[in-house]
Amino acid sequence: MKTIVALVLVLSVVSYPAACLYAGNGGTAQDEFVDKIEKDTFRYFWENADPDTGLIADNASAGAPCSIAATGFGLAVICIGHSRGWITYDEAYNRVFRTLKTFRNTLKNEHGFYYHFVDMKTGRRVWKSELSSIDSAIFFAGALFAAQYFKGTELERLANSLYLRADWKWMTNGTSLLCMGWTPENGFLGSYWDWYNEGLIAYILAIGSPTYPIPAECWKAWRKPVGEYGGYKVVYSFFGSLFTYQFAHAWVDFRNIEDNGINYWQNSINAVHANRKFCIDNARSHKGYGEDGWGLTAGDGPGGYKGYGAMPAEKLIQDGTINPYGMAASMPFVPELSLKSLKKIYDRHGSSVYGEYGFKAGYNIDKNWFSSNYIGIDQGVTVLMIENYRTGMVWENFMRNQCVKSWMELCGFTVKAP
Amino acid sequence: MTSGPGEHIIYQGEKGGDMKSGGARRRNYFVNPGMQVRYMAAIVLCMLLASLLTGVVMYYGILGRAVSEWSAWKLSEKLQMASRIKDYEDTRYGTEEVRTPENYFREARFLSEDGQQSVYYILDDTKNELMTRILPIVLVIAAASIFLSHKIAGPVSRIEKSINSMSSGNLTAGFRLRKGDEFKGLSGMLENMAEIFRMKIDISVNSLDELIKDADKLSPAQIKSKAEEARRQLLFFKTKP
Repeated sequence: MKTIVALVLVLSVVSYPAACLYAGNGGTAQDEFVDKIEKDTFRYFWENADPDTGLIADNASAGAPCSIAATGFGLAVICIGHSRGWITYDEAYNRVFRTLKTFRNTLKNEHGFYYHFVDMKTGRRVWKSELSSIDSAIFFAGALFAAQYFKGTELERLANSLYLRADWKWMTNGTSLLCMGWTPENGFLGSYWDWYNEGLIAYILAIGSPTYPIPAECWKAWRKPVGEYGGYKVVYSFFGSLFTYQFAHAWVDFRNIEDNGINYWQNSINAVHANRKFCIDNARSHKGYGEDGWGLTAGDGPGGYKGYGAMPAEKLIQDGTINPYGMAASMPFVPELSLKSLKKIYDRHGSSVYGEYGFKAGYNIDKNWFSSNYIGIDQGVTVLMIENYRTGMVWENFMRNQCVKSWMELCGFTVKAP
Repeated sequence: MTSGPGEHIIYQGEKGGDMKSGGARRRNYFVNPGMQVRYMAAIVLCMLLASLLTGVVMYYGILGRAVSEWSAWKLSEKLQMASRIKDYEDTRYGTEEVRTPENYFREARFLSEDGQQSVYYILDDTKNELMTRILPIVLVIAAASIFLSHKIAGPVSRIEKSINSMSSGNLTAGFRLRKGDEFKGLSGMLENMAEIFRMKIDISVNSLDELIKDADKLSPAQIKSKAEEARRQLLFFKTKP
């Protein structure tokens, strides 16, 4: 009897933190866990930036160049860091301002767009990377968010001026679609943003641009294929990667926007459920998949970076790898599931999946592989989505931008009452 | 034409020879070895300094960056990044399944392009580094050349002024130069020449003064003697060919 009582006591003590976390939605322990993820992930952007240029590394490995998309996310993350009291106003303002000045004075641009990868210190184009429309768009999104966050300051004017320089019409290369990029060596790339995916954010900024807009009809030019998996109907992306349902949602509050019967917010919720269902259905083939092992999305795997995804998709890539940011960035869509699963993998795998900058890039139980790296855009969308889940602060600020209002007006979207 | 001692300048056509082809041609360019060697040494030293600096900046700039750029550590980073870039492109453009020979070696292409870009950036940075360092050296050399050329330009100007003064009849104008100036020999000779002129003219003037003053008291023979003395001094100056 004594043994049983002692066992019950020990088990109670051991399981106390987890039980506390899920004692109820919004409980203190749960808040602490969310706060921990957000704060640790924030540190990626604070510590992996060049102190002089403010440019942020593509990933945490040594010698990584700057990714302008990671930098765009970083601009918003730094503001979030200030709003949460992790850094002072001056620290946040100076870092964001310095970064924007680097883009204005140092980085080479073509028609207002920037190269995907640049040197952290000099801002020079590296790896002969392309002038990227989506990565520039994510940078502009970060700049426009910062403009609203620091409204009425010199920073606001600088951020807006960078966005206003972008000649979106040029980026269509005479078509009704945005091209993925351009290089000085070969001109426009052969690929266009012609499917539903993260490219939404580029179309929003392009249609809403007051200086070089593209016609609102372009919104209708890309494919919106509808598929179904596990009873969830989804306007799906080519690879079915979860990030394609998250990146634009990190900035734009789609909750009350109706696009000819499509509600992209609900669509993302359905996509997350379909993704999870796909993982549960394939749990026998891959040990890491299951009720708390889902969120298949593009990220690092044992064979390198892959566009992992789940059904519905046009092309499926999966090998048992889980990229935790897929779950973390789903927090506004499915908070209960997201938090439960994140806590589960955190408890189960500990430092193998979680480190100084939050959740690591990926893991694959089948191959006993755990990434030790962190990827800037993964960490960026994680912080923004967690903040949106907690306060909606990113949406609130970003939606105040005139270009977003113009995009909605020009596309004739109806806004449903919340 | 005059020719100073030690200055072996021979003008072609001096005696009605051909002067049409641009004047004099020097046979001996080593007319003042001491001065020329000094100036040659100064110029060569300046050039050596500039070249040395250029060489050092280029050598260490290029070598330092190249060694770091192609260190095993850096190459392994680049190899990983090349692989990552390929994966990113595959994911974004859906090119993973494209089985072309070029696609198999895309990392090699990335590395090659990155290497070429690195070389370009290294040279560009070295050039910029050189420009920032060479500019102060050019300024120092320019300041030094003004100081050195002043040693020539100063005496020439001083001699010109004295000659002008002498041309207007003032034989008291001297040719004294500053310490360290060039043309000390020339100024000494000019000083000697002026002294001789002054002496000859003074003697002539004295004889003529005595002649004028004592004309009534002197015998014709004495008058003739005084006049001849004055003439003899003046005949020192050759005025006819």
